[in-house]
Amino acid sequence: MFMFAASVPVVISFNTFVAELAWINGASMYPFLNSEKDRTTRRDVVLNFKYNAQYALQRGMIVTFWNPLRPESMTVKRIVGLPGDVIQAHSPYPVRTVTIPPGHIWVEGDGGVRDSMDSNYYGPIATGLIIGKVTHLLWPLHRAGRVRWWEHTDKIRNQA
Amino acid sequence: MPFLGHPFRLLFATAQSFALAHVVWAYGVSIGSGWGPSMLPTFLIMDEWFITDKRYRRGRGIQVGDCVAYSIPVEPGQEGLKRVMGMPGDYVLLNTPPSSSRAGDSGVDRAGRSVRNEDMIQVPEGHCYIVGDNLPWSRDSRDFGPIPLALIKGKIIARGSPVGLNPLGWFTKIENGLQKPSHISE
Repeated sequence: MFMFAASVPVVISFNTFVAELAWINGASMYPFLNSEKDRTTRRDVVLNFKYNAQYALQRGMIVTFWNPLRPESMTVKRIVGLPGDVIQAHSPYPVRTVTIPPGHIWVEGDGGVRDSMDSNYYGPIATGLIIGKVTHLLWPLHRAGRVRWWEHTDKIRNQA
Repeated sequence: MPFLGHPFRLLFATAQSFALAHVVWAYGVSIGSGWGPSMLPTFLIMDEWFITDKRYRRGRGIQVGDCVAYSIPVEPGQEGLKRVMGMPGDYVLLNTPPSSSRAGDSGVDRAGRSVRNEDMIQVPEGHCYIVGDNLPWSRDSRDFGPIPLALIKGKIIARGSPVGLNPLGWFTKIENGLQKPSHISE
C-alpha cells in the first residue's frame, strides 16, 4: 500500500512535466485529428509532450493550451504565426491584418472557420498558456505514429 | 539498514521524494523571491520572499483585490506579481487613474484598434485586469491589456524574508486589499 501511494506523485509529476495522454474532442483539427469523426464516436488519442513546451515553437506545430476564454479547458490547435509575423485574419476578427505581439502566437484549427474557434475569434494567445506539443498520435492504430507537422505544408500559411 | 538492501532501492526512494516535492510545489504551495518597484508599498523592492498558494492556479477562487503571481504574457518564462483589479465582466479604466503625463495618450490594442487612456473596457470572459500598486512604476494590464486567467500561477498568501532564527517569524500574511473598514487594523 505504501509502495503504491509513494508512486502516485511520480506519475503525477511525469504527467505534469514530461508527457501525458490527451483525448481529442471535436472537429477543429479535422481532417488531421478525429479523421473518422463521421464514422465513429471514438476519439483520437495523442501524446501531449510537455517538457520545454513553451519554447522552440515553430509554425505548423500542433500545440495544446489553456483556452484564453475558459481557463479550465484544454484546446488543441496548429501554430500559424510567431511573434513579429503579420497574419491575414479571417472573420470574425475585427481587423484584416495583425502583427503578432512579443510572447504571443497565432493559432488556428485545421477544420476551418466553421469548426474551429481559434485566434480568429480570440486573437493572438500568450505562449505562457501552452501546455504541450502534440508529438505522437497513438489511437487509432492505423494512423498512429509521430506527428510529422513539418510535412503538413498546405497547413502552414505563412512560411518564412 | 533495510533501506539500502537493494542497489536501486535508495534511487527509487529519492526519485519518489523528489516527485512528491515537485507535486506539492506545483499544486500546493511554493516559495520564491522577487524584486522590482511595481508593488510598492505592499512589497519591498528587493529581499522579498513570497509564499504562493497554487490552489488558486488559473484564477480559481481569485477575487478583486488579491495579489497574484502570473506569467508575463509579453515575456515568455518570466513571472510577475500584481494585484487583480477586475474580473470577467467588470468595467475598468485602461489607465487608472489617468496620470497627467499619460492623459490623452493613445495606443493600440492587440487587434490594432486605437484605444485612449481614458477609455473604459469590460474585462472579457476568462480574463482579469491586473495592476501594480505603484502606479507610475508598474508595467501591467494598462500596457498589455487584460490577461487570461489561465496565466495566473497562484495567489500570494504571505510575504517576508528568511532572516532570524525563528521560521514562524519570517513571513507575514497577505490579505485581500479590499477589506471592510471594521477589519482594518491600525
